[in-house]
Amino acid sequence: MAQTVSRSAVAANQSLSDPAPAMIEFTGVTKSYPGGQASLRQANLSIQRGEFVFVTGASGSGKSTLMKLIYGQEHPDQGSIKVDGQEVSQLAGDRLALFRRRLGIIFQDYKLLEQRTIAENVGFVLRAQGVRSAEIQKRLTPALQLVGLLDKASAFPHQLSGGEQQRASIARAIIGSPSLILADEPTGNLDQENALQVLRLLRQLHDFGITVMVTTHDLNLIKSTQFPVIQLQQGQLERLAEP
Amino acid sequence: MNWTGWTRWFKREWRLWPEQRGSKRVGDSAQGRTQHPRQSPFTHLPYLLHETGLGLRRGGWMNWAAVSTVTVLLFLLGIGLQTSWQVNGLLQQVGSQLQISVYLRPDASVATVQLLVAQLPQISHVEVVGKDQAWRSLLKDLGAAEIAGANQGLESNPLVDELRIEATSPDQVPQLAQALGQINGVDEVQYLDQALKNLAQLNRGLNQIGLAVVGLLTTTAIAVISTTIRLIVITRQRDIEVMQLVGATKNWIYLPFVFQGIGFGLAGAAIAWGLILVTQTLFKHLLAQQSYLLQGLTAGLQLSLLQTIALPVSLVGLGVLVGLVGSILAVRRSVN
Repeated sequence: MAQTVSRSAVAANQSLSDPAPAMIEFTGVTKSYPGGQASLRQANLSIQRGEFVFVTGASGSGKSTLMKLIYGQEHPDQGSIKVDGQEVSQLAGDRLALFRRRLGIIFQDYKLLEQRTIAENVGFVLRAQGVRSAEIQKRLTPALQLVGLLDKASAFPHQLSGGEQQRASIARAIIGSPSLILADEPTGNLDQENALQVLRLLRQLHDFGITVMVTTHDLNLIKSTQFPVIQLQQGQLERLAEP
Repeated sequence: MNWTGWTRWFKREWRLWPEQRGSKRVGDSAQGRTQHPRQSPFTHLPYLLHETGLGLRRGGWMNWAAVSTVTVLLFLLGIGLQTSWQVNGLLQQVGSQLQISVYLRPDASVATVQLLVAQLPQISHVEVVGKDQAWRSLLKDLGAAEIAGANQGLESNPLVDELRIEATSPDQVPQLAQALGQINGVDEVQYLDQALKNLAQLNRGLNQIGLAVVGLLTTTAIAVISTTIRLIVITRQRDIEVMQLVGATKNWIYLPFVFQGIGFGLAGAAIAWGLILVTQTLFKHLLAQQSYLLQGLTAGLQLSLLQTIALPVSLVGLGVLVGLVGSILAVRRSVN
């Protein structure tokens, strides 16, 4: 009995002492393109759960590639990429699809479907996952309300401004209740006012506990917050500042 | 409601979503978090049909290329099947008779030959069809108004005297025909067995040609459907890319394209069946205006109930198969 208690106590202590796995973990990641140009060279990175980080770097430094590596669009030549404890490079097919359901991805060019309304675009995520219409409707209203587009639910993307389209893509990213949001230059096509609005939304999502990773080359955007910045330079990832 | 109000409200709603229930912090339960219940695509038929319709709308005129190819294939298959069944029906109709036709030489005496024929066993009935009677009957069948005019055109009656002999048993027909052929004055002996053999042989030949044509057209239809679906997939590449990024599985993405292929097959089958019905009606009208002799064939041309059902079922079956194979080939290429 005493031994059992002792083992349980040790296990409990171990459990307490074990840190939760990082949300994103890069270990010795190298990624080169066929031309020989390397975007990552033996890069290491650790982003904890609930963090908000910016990733910055010159154009062509590989920020988008970094994002693609995280959501499995690209695979590393070497090294390990773990997201939420899962080795992404080992995922393919339907396993990769199921993994992506846990992410919310926001793109610079919004990637909205032109022939579908905003409501359809946002609900499309759940529809494509086979979620029932009633559940989609239940989630659609708060998601659109959060981004302030409930009155534009029936509009088509071309009827919306760039800022509104990006907010629609944020609604699409969050409707699946992801634990990680990846925003690849989300303000790249927006004016300052809309960019700040998008940033405010992302901060709100971070407040909910969602891990947020934003690539940007907009220094004003970075300076407007106290979030840590990771610089991608010459294939290396360097954490520049801590909050 | 102001921004803070929205946020509070959204947070409350967010907690109500299944993934977040019982979770102290969003993402904490990510390892073992509840996935959306995976459901069979067939429980989401409205979604799949909606996506299929969307694809068809994007396909535009390309759809018609696929449907028309399937239509041609299935129309020819339907006509071929129907003809084959009708010829078989005709064979059975005429095959039930036991008649032997004996054609005499122009210089032979009908009475002499008739006397010799009467001495043969296994004959139940003999009917003499004189060449004048046969000529009048033929002209009547052909619809000639005046025998004299026709005679003038051909200068003389080209027909010969004929004896129509009926055997007592079908087994005796070949031997009886052989014996009749040896009678002096007999030029030619024809019996239905021979005609049936010829007709059956012709039917088999036509079936083989039909099979080859259907095989060739099936390959063509599969290729056209495959190319059409592939083009539709390309026009919907952006949709597919977004679907992949938001976590749609391959089946979920590509099943609507397979449905489109099946749709092409069904549309082709429906149009082909309609064309066959129109053809049948026209043929019946044409036959009704023909001579009594040809009208007599209609009984043999009539399809049985089973064949009437089997014809559209075959069209739909092959249409669906062709659509399925074509679309799966296209989708496999796209997935790869």
